[in-house]
Amino acid sequence: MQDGVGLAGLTLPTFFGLRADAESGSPAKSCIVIYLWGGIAHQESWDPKPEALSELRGEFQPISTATPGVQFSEHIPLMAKHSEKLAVIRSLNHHVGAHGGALYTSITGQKAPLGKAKDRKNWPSLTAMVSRFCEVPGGTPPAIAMPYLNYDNGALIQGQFGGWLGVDYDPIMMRTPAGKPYGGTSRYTNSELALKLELGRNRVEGRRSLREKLERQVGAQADFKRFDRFRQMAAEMLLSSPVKEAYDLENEDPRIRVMYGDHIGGQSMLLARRLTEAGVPVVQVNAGAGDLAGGSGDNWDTHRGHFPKMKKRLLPVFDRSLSALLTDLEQRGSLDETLVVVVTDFGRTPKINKNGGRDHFPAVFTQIMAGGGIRGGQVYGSSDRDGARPASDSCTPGDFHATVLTAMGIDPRTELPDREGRPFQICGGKPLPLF
Amino acid sequence: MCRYQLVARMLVAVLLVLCESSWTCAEETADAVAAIRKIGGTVRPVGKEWAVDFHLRGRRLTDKELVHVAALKNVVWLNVSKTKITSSGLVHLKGLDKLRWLHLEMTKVGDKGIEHVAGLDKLEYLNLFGTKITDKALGKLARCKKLKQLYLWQTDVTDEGVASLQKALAKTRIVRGVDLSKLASSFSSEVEKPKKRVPLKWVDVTSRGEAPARSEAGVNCEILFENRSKQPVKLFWIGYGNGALKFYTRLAPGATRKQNSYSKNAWLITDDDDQPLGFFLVTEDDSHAVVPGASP
Repeated sequence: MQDGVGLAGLTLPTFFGLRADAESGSPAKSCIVIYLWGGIAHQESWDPKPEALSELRGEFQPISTATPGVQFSEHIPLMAKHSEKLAVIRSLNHHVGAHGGALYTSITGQKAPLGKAKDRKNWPSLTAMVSRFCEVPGGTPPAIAMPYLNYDNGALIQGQFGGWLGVDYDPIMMRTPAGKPYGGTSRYTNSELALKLELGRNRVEGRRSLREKLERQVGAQADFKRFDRFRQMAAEMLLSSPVKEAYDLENEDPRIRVMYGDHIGGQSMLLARRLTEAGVPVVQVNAGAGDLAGGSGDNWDTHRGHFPKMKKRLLPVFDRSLSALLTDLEQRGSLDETLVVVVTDFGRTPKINKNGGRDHFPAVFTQIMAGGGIRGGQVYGSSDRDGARPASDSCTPGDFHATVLTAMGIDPRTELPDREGRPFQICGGKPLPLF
Repeated sequence: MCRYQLVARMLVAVLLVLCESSWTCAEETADAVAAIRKIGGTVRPVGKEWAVDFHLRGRRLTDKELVHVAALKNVVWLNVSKTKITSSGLVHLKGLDKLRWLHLEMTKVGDKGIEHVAGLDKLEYLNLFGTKITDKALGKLARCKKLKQLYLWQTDVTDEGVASLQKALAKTRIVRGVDLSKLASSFSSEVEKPKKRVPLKWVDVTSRGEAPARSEAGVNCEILFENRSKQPVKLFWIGYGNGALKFYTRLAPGATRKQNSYSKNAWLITDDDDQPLGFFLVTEDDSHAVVPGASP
């Protein structure tokens, strides 16, 4: 059985397993994927609908952004100031109305989940796929996800892992060490991967030495080897890697920490910046409570009390933390080399239900990109008056993925073999003209 | 990683054959590549040119070692941020006339070094964030007519100096970043310097009898409780006098709580069924009390 992928099936541009720098410019060197679990309402964020029928319009007002003619919701005023850095894609759509399948579709760019959450037949997540093409020094994880994995009522969702790329490309799950947690239910279960970086050096060395002795007695077994990779990586990170230094948020200027907000959402985005600076090529921030658990927590699945929840809890944290991330990347001169993308399950219904909420709506929704060579200050595609259908330039999660891969210097048409050696084109979509 | 190293070497070999006009030249290039790698740098081909990066594993890079980069020639992208280089080392950049992206952020480079940078007339991106440059350097950079982006956050330049440079380089995007002093005042109510906390010792127990019988009085301090176990835990203060338990809060896995307390006080931690798991005895310092996960 093959755990990863071999060289045999690689096409020439990626024969060396690495990304190619475009001759015309410098593509993104790292990627931050922000996932909004539950499905953010496009109408109350990036695609306000002031002309919609009154019963659909909602309570929020549109505001101008820094880009003439482009409006956002009044409750993301800080992001409105960053519109010149953003490509806003308002015509995304797919056909999956349930969270599990929708997360899978949005984060893998593929249609339907095939198996259980960690089934190796599943398609790799965007985070895992991009990391497959990135070279990292020893002790640096190719991809990290934080602060929680995404669950729905206790069930871990498919599509968040390395899938057929193999266990080597499962993003390392990491807790964010600071900030007020999202309200609602979040789970820390992935003990195999949860790296306890706060452990002291001596304790780690002692523990490693003990384990090595035990391993010599047990002998080299295949399953042990697989686990060994994570243990080895954890030990290297703990002892010497710049990743450890990056993980310690106490090393950050307290004023910068305040800029991101004393919330696990903001501190996770700050950590994402620090980790990419330390050489981690892809970092995923799941911005919302980890388990939808009926939708009562701080996640984007706003079936009830949509407007007060968005206004008071969800949008202020998100607006402050994401705008801080863009400000910080920009002032450090890192934004051109760091692609930031915001991904979500789907949009929400134009109709407001009897509980003052909006329900699942995959027929049209909005996602955004910034940095990494993406031209800012542009809107791609549009939804109709009521935010019910794409009105122009309809596009899919696959197209979004193809755009991300292209920005990262990866040809979306590249073929890789799966565990049985069957070749798969890594992405079926076409890059959007956002560069 | 071995596979990557192998294929990267193959890549260099193939490119050297393809790109260089003679074996002699190829050997010089290979030597330079090897020398850069030896000191922690990475070298990637960009078409027929090179991108050289020291900012992760090559942070011990010193001025004289920049000679290896100079030997490579055809370098279009160079990142020496957070390394030990100073103004003196930048003399080696003089011949890199194809350089378009240059990262010098978070180094000891100052105004003197910028003289060598200003001669790089193809430069499009220059990052000087966190250096000690002043308006003097900006005056020299006015010669970089192709400069598209210039980063000056946390340097010693002034508004006047930047305005003057912007006049000379009208199309250049000059990024100053946020003014941290103003930022602090806009969030003044939230600025809290992180406290230095000493770790509080966790003591495993299985019954109430193994924990201190009662708390004693002491000096005021603050404890940050953190539940790193996989189960919710309950936090009880062991009272003075008869040592009655007073329930304070329930901490979900991963949750934290700041708690006012006094030295010589004792706190008992139980599981959800009130079964004791361990206790903390408070010291005089502000402290961090971690409920640990499963035993290693």
